[in-house]
Amino acid sequence: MYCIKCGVELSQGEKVCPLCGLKPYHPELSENSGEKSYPTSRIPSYETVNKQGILFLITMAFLVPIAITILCDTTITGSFSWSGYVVGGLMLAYILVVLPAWFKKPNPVIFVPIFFAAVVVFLLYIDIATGDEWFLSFAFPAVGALGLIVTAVTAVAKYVKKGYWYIAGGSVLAIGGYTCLIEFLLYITFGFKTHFPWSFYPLVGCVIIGGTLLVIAMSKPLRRRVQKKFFI
Amino acid sequence: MEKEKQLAWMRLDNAAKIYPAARRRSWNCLFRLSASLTEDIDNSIMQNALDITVKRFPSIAVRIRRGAFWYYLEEVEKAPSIKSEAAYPMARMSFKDVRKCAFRVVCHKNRLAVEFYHALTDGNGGLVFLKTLLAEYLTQKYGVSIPNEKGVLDRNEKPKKYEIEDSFLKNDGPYSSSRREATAYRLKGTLENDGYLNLVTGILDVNAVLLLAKQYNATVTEFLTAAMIYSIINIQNRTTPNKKRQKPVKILVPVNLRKIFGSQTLRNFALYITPGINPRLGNYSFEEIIKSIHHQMGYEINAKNLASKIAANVGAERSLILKIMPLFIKNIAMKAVFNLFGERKSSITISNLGAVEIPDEMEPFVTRFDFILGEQALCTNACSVLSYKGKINISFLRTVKESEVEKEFFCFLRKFGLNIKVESNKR
Repeated sequence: MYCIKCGVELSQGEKVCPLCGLKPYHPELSENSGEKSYPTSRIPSYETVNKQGILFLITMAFLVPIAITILCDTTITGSFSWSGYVVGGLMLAYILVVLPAWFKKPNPVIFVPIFFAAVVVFLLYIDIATGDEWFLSFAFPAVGALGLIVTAVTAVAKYVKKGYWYIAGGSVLAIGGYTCLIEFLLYITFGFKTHFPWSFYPLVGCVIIGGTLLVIAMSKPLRRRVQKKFFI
Repeated sequence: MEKEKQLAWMRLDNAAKIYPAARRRSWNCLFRLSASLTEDIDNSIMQNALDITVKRFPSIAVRIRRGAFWYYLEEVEKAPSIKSEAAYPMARMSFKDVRKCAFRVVCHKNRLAVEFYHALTDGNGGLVFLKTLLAEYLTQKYGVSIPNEKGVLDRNEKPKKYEIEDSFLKNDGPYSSSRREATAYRLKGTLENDGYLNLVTGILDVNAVLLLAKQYNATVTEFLTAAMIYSIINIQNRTTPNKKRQKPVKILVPVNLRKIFGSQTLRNFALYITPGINPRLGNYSFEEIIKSIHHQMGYEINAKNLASKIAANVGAERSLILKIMPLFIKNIAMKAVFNLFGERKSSITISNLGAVEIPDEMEPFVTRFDFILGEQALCTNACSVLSYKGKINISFLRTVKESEVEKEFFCFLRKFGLNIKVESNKR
């Protein structure tokens, strides 16, 4: 049998043309049968870079400075004091960078909130260790709100395949609102007083940019004009 | 007390030295020679024949071992057992395997294949091994007496000294030429994620190809090289339409040095030349390409020019600094050189072993010979050619999914009215 596209004769057992992938077919001829020259089911093993091994080495590289700091701290001060901050910081970096790599397809919608939760725990530790009282009224709501915004944006961007203009506009507006929250929290926790609210400036900027993005998102002709003007 | 048997060892030849240094996690440069018989192969007789044949080839029945300054070859205590065929030829041979035995014998139905680690020998040396193994098998199975000619060696003889010599060291010229070359266009594609190697073999009538080559006053190798350049220029025109950004299309063509320098070694004794076309100069017709390739090859392939190339390679091996460098540092240096220059100076390799001749007594039993060049380190495709009994087999092995090169090449040959029969291991 011949391939009608490439014009080459197909050897026995070739169900499709190996050059172009076309299936040869003729109503009066039977399918190209027979055995191929290689047993296609026996696929040999193939060694690739072992990801787990590399991750194990990276984990070890994180553990070494942790062990050294704890050792130094306990021998110098005789107690577990400043090394807690170092250990916490390193663990945060590990959770952010290395932890997702252990999984085959890490889902950002799960790992982003995990990271923010870890930040909250670390801040709680610092709050208790230093004996101040800013965790409940400032750190927790500030980090929590940011975590909510980032998680929401990641989730929408991941699961909703359309409407990127809406997502961009919405997140800029949310950041504007977040600055107001920060100023409010600073005020009630630390009593910072200014003549007029500074968060007004970023809020106005965010509202203008975010609003423009939303308007572009809603108007199809405007969107097309923007794409025509700014394509790369 | 009985003395323990001393295992013979030898240095790697000049061309072989790069292979253990350039290896990657799962890549070692291999090539395969196979012969198809009229009947299915009896594995136990073949194992017997192999046990006898390996004694005649002290430079091939070896494994690679590590010295303090260089790798070396060491005789294997007994012949390896016969392996069964997998879904693709030349399944990866890790360096662990190479350190046990650097070649393997694979039997599948009526086909006997030997896969060599390239540090042991080149295609011509391997062909002598395959023919001798076949002759021994046929003698044992069918009781035919086969004369020791046309590359079949006498298994009862002792290995000759000239067969295991490093001919590079004897034939270096007084002047070493520069190895500087322009970087060539590189073929691209999507790698198979499970390491599958795709093989496509085109079978053509050798006389038709010869006649066609003669029309252009060229040899078969020159004709195929020109056809390949023409095909790859077409591919480059599609991937990089901007002529100014195109790169030269060059083909790596190994040259057998045995006839040129009168050597009978069974170890590596081949060099390569890289004829090519620079498409930035304009649009080339096929006639222009084949004319240029014919002259480039004629200019490159002569004893003086090749001797100066050998001198460059041998000179590096003889330098005292490189000699006393510990092996692990030498490996880093050699691998860096290989990665920078090795395969970047050519777009694809076309290795043509030419017409295979065997004693007349063997011919009724052997229906076909094949030659497949293994996967390359960087280059996604490799092409190898061999002819036997009026047929020319052109094998393409690739690590990528796309069959673009083969398609372009065979479709171009089709335009000359050649009949091409293709077979593959496409899943």
